[in-house]
Amino acid sequence: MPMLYLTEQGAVLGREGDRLVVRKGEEVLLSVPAFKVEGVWVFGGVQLTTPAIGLLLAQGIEVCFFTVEGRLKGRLTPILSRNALLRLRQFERYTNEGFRREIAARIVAAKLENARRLLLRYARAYPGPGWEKPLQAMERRIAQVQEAPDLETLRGIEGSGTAAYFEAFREMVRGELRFEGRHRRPPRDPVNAMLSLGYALLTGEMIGKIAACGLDPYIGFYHEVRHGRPALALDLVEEFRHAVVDRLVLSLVNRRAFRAEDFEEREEDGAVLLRPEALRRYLTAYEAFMRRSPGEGASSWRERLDEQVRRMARAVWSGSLYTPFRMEA
Amino acid sequence: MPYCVVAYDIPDDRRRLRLSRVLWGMLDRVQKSVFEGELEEHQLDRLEERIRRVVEAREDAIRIYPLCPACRRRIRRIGPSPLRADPDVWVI
Repeated sequence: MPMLYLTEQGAVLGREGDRLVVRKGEEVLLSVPAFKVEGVWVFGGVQLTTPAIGLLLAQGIEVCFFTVEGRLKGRLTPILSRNALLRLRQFERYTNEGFRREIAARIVAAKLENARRLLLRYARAYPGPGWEKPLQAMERRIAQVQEAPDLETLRGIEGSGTAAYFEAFREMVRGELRFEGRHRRPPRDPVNAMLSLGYALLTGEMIGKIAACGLDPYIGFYHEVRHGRPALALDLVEEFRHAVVDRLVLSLVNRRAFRAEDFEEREEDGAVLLRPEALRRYLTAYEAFMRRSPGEGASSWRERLDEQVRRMARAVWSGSLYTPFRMEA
Repeated sequence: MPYCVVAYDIPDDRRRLRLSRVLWGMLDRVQKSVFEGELEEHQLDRLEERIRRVVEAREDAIRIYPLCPACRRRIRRIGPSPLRADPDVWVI
């Protein structure tokens, strides 16, 4: 079913009968039966009327609120009554150091492996000596993962492996937009802005899926539990960052679908953001990507995400091992 | 997803209004008393159930035509009533 992304600042999502209606001033921008909508993602200053909220809750439609730059602010959820037992298990597993380390090691290994495979694809397409060093660095890190005695060490390995990857990512960006290195909070160039936004969308999506299956998205195994941090969602996002968002961004940038004039710098903090029209195009491209098949079985990337959440739920429930997503080589 | 066309003829004003509300909740209005839209089989069942609750079988006439994809492509239309497919995403 279609997703509804609301980016038009000042628009109002209301309800008419069983329909969701988006208006701006007098103009009706969209009118659609609510049951057709899979989820609603709201960006920045878009209003929801109380009747609309009632309809969304009644239909079990997931609503996520993002800032204009794509930071997840919160979600609207129907009353959560599901699966208290699963959550108790999750708390139990969280206190089990061995379980946490094992899950974390598998996630980090898969994440770095996916990054390596993406890099390898570029190395094959554009042969050159520049790829050797980062590839070797990443292989070393991947090999170290299994020996890591604790989470702290794992985080160090992941950090330096990812740094090596982003070093090479500069060469993978081949369009006219420059990428000097990974910056977050705030992103300081267009490519970073697109990466950050993509990761945020993916995280928002994960939070919803995790909550829907009855797990607590805020209690993770690899990521530390911190106030307001969706640790489990971030755990599950790791294996998809490079396979989904980086590939999406690379394809958009490298075929010059986005240009410098699609971005603007915010005065307060120098954050580079997508302009409204570019944001819409980016969301459309993201959605199209998520609906594409990742190959081997799953009909879409989104379904692949679901599968990983189910695997995590099984691992939490039975204490069995979790198998992360691995990109095809 | 099958594409459905619903046409009706209802003499009573109140019932006609009620029915159009029910249809409008699940389909798009393409003509004064014709609605269309994509519906799964089970959604179609739900729609039929709702319609039955509103109408008076002795006086009212309602027809639901589910179209197969091939038939849908062969719809001929004259005049400004759009033929719409649900997109993957609405970005507003």
